[in-house]
Amino acid sequence: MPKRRTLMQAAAAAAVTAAAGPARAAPPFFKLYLMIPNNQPARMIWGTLAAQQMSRIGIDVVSSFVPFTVIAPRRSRGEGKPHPDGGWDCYLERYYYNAIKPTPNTLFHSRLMPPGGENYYYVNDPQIDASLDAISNTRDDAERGAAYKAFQKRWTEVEPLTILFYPQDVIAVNPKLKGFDATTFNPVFFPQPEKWTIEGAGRNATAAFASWAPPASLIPMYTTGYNESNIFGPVYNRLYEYESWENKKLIPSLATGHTVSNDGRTWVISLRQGVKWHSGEEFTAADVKFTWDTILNAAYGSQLRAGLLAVLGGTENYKVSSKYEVTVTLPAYNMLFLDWALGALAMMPEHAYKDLRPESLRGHTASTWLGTYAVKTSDGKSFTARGGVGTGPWIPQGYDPARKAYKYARNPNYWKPHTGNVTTFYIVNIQGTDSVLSALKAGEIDAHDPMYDIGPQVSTIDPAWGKVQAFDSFKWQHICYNLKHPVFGTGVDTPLGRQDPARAAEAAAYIRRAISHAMPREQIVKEIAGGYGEPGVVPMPWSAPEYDHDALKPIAYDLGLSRQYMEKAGYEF
Amino acid sequence: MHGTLPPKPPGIWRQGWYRFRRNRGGMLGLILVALVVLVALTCFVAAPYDPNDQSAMLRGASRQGPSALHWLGTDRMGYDVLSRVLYGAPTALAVGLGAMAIASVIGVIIGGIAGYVGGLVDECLMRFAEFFMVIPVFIVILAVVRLFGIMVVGTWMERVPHLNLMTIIALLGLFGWPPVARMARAEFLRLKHAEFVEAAICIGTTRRDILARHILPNALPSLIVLVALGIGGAILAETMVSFLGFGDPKAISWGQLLYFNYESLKVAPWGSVAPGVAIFVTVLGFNLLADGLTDAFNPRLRQ
Repeated sequence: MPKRRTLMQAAAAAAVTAAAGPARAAPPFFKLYLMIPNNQPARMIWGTLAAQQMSRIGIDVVSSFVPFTVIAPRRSRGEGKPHPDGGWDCYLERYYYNAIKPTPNTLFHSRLMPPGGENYYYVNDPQIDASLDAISNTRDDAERGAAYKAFQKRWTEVEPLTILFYPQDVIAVNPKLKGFDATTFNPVFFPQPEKWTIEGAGRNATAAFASWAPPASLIPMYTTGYNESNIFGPVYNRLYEYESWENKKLIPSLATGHTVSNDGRTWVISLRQGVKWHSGEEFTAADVKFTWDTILNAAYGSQLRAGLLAVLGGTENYKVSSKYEVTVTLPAYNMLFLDWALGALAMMPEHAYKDLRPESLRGHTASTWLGTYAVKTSDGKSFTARGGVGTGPWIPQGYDPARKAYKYARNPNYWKPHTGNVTTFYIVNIQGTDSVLSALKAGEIDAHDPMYDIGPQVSTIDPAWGKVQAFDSFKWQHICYNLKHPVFGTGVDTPLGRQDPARAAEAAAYIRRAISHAMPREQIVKEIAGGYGEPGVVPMPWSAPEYDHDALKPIAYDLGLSRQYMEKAGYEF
Repeated sequence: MHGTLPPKPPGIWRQGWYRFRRNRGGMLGLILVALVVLVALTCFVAAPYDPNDQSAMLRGASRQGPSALHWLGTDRMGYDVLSRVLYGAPTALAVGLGAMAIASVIGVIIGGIAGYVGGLVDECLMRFAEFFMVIPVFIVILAVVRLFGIMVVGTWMERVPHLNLMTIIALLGLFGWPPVARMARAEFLRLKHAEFVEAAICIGTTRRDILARHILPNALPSLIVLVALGIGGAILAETMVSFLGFGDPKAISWGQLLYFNYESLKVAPWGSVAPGVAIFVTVLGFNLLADGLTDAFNPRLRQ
């Protein structure tokens, strides 16, 4: 039986504990600033969960909900500084490639670091670079397949980013809307209302599409995001386009075809004749050259510049060989030329945009759709534009700030026939999942973009007002890291890295793997994404043929394993 | 000669309490406020779960309805709704009391000086108060919270717990003082001409004693009404800031609960309804209390 003194001591200890709280947890190993974009409540939820999981393996996470406008300048500065010095440590993001063929070579190659490129994370791994170069440059399908596999294998070894899951795109549409199956949801496949038919609406139907956030600029070369592509997409065309989401086949659009030399370097692209810009001016090879020249001109600050420069090599490598023909001599064969440069870059009109100064382009009506401007054509006529000027199926009719609506009229001179009955089209900015479903129920919209993550709300949608469609999204959600960070980036400030600088990168990889194993991916998919998705492993579309399903297995949620990796990096629990 | 002194009449506070007790609305408000205070003091032992425990999500039990395990169910983030609602009470009270404490101190000092000194000083201070009244406080809060969040990165201030929340409290207080100042000015202006103040001046009482011992205590009843109303307003304001996603990610706030759960209103209504009821009860309590205090201390106003 315990002695009275022992009991008294225990009681005293209990009293002290009750008054002062339990003993303080061990001090955290390091601090990490996690920025969670505040435009998607679902992402804020798994962001909060991710922060809490990190704290369970000894990381002091300072999380903040911020608009993406706070994140973008921090990551674009290109200095790789950590968060307290004006850069960044870590943030959440949804990403996708701009082409059906996965193009990790546009995102993770060490040549593509900001401010000119999109490797915002500073991935700098020779093995990854080698596999990305092989993906870009080989013409042999088997070799490229092997390169994809090598990329994925190396990725799982070093895990530069934590891929959380592959979401499905879940869209609810007006049950009377037909032809939406032809629309796909990578921004390359913007909504295609020219294929829509609203049953019972006669020959002149009006349709509306909801897009979450207002766009930053509606000049195509400034962005590849949904908020912008949804809106400028129906206005412009590309040289090649994808026939449908089902067959994912690249077919000629403003081009009619191409020939390519045996070494894959010299391409002759034939252009479609008789295509008119909305102004009435004819589309020619000069417009193709103008588009590429403008993107490559550093003064315009296009975020596509680094990628296009890597493919084309420079402005001297392409020329107008006739009015309807462009000849390109690539520095080396690059699969991105067809799949991305020809298949994803919207053509811009030389006659309408050539006089717009770089410094004023973002604020011009062509970019904002506010107001009007006159476009002179070569035959001396004048066209009053209320937005961008393209060759696409829809002509901008301006932006109505009061309704937050972008209006379009059917292009009567479109070079391809409209197959639906929609003649007037709106894109409205609606924020919030509940709001967009209410708008659909009220008949104010006919469809919406996939940013709304309606998966968890599907059970509330009555088939009478909403038909639910799910598509493979070709996207992934990830936690991205600044790989120049001294702890989880370069590893020089980890215990192992300090002890043996040669093993610093290894230590950083251990920390990232520790975080990765602390993420309950399956529960995030099930509980937050409504079950619409798959746990993530590598930055490759889950349903792409290039995804190595045989080699890639789900990353286990295992806090014990996480702690073991932290210990390997030199941290003691 | 022996005489019997008349009994000492009850003071202003005792009279007020007598009247307040007869006011049903006021008493209901007092009970509701007392309930919120009780919850705030006891939530640390009364809450069945840690407020940051998301284990329900890890075992696939988020958005579950009320059960024996989770009396008010679990929300979209896997939190126990009851625990989060209980832990939201101290946050709400800290915001309400903190903001109005700051507003009261500033308001009484500025209003008191304006009312007692008068003249040009009064004019200047009242125009200054009006300037503050036309500033769109809500937008200022959103902007400052965002800017402040960027500015403190890497500084010692970052280690201050709940800095975002404290910033919101400070801003609500810094922009909430003009109504208090106007009321204080009116009361000081009225009381400085009262007979008991003139008597005090005649017997040579110092100005500080007159202000602190004679005028301020008599002005307090009116000011308390405003403060009680202001507490409810401040709680609502913080709720709105959090509801817009600009709140303190680490603070447990009813507004934040609403923000994260309102999109699941149709799927898991308990996640939104519970914090909504908590906000309603708290704000109603303070408003009824203020109404009761008005009747108690300014009975002629009602007549």
